[in-house]
Amino acid sequence: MKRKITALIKKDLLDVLRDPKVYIGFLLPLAIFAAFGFISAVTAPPSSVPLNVYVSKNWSLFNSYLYSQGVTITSQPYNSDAIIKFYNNSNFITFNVTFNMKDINQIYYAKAEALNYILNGFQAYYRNYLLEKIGVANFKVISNPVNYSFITNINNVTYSLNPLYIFEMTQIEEFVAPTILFALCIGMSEMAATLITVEQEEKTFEMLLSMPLKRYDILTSKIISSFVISILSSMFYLVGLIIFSNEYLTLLGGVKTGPVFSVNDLILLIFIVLLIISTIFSSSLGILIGLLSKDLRIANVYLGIITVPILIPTLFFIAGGSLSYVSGPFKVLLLLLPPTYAIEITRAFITRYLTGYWILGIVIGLAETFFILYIASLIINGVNLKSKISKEVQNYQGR
Amino acid sequence: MPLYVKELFKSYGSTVAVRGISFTAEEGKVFGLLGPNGAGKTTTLKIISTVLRPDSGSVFLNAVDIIRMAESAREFLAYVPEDAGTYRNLTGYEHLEFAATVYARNRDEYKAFLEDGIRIADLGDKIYEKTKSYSKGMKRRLQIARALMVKPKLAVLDEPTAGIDVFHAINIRNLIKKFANKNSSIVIVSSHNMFEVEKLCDEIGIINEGVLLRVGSIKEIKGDNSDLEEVFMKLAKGDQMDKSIR
Ligand SMILES: Nc1ncnc2c1ncn2[C@@H]1O[C@H](COP(=O)(O)OP(=O)(O)OP(=O)(O)O)[C@@H](O)[C@H]1O
Ligand SMILES: [Mg+2]
Repeated sequence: MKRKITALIKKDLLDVLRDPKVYIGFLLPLAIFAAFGFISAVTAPPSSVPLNVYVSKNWSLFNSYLYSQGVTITSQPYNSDAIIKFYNNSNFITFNVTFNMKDINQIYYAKAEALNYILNGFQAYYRNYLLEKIGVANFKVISNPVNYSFITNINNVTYSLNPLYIFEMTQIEEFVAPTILFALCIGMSEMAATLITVEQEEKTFEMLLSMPLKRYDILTSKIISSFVISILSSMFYLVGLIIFSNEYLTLLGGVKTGPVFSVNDLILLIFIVLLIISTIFSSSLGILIGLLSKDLRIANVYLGIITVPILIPTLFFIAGGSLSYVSGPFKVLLLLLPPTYAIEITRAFITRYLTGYWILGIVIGLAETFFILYIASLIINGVNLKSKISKEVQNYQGR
Repeated sequence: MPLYVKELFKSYGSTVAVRGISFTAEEGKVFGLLGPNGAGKTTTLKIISTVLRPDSGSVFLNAVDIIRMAESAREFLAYVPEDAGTYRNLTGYEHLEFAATVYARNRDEYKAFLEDGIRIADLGDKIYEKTKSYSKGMKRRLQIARALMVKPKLAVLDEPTAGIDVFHAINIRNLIKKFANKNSSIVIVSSHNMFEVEKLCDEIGIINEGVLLRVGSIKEIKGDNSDLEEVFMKLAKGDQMDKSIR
């Protein structure tokens, strides 16, 4: 009994492990961990951020508390991170806090956290002050002497919410949107790759190659078929995202902020374009993989490799990274990956503000897609690329 | 115009699959490549059908070098790969439609191709079902129908009757023979079945380890021997002796 199971296992392991390409797949977690570690470091919020606050009235107790916390009090309301107005009713104080941010990124997140921390600290500080001033007898009255109400401005959009709520909203949005986009892109690559690999396995590809069909026509038809499928599944992704956003983002914190999308929405339109570009980019990668793989197992190894470049922007945005706060080679890498742009723009659903990267996204996405398809056309035409892959290529007969 | 195959060489990495194969296949006749597993039959047929580029050598048909002018050659050749599969979710009829569209130059030809295809496949109502419900032999018949219905000048069939039952095999052999005759087409088949080759082919080439050992009509090759198997065994042994001497 045991011998038979051993034989079964041995057969499986030998069949898989004897192909050297399979080991490339083993290195994948390493690459992913390295990428994730690097991205976490890049996107970590700064340990200290300047906080500029404009206070509408001079109240020395509050001002000196703010000073003690390292806050800069500015004399002008504009360009400040927060505007604080307050009213008092005997010992009770109401703060109206307006928090201003231009973008959703880790700097503003750090500022919003610091502001919340400092204001909550003031609650305790003021309570102690009152205790000293009016004594323990009125303890119940003064347990919560300060009341806060928040408004958050992101560019020209106003939410009646604590900025931390907004970050919470975006964190969920920024988990959901990129994760599903990631799955969508990988799915598209896989679909395009199998469209060709299945033909190779079934030998129908050999039949096609012997028919009076131009090599370019065979490739073009594969491209168009996979693009049609890409666009179809992008539409499902889109409808899902709109449902999610309009249901969830409008209602968080119990505050209705109005539907996130309307029909003639420029942000939505650009997002659709970027989404389609990401998926056709992924499917053209899949086509390349299909041409280079004689069987599905090898195709899967290559598919594993391309998850890394798609994973990088996904992780970056899930970790709260922002394109305006990275620089150097890593930024270049992000900008070279088409899914970056489709994910980046989902932030604009909340900020209602276009950063302008989308233009670059369209150009780069299309340029890279064409480049990949150009390589694919060389391969299907039997051009010997001076690299390892030329060995796989020799089985396609040129024109 | 016959098909001239000249000095084909092809290696896969360090394996030399075909080493200098030359033969001539006549119009209206069936030429059979006969040889054991791994002899180089499939490799030779792939080269002739422009799917694989040889390392050297040439193939001429109608004064056209098939290898260098592959694109125009494909207009008049049809190839059925060894264990060719099908598109699982297309019906047999849709397969024939596809091939007819690719080869037909006008509507009438398209219709004629389809009609012929249905007749050759002989699948009854099954032709309208998805091919994932087909048996191996049914798929094979569909492939042969797909290739022959377009009346190619050159039909290359790699083990045409593999997996087909006796009844249908006889049927298909007759079809192939009649096809070559009627259309003055050149048909090249491969097989390791001596019996089949004897029934189907007009001329044969015996191939072993990438070398064509003998070419000629069945009669010529048989000579005084009672059957092809005997000839083959003698040739193969002789070949091995040659090598050990070298
Ligand atoms: N893709 C490949 N890579 C490496 N070697 C190959 C490849 N295809 C065929 N060969 C080798 O080339 C030689 C000829 O193979 P080929 O398939 O032409 O033989 P065949 O005569 O068709 O055999 P069979 O009767 O088994 O179909 C064999 O030694 C085989 O191992
Ligand atoms: Mg073979």
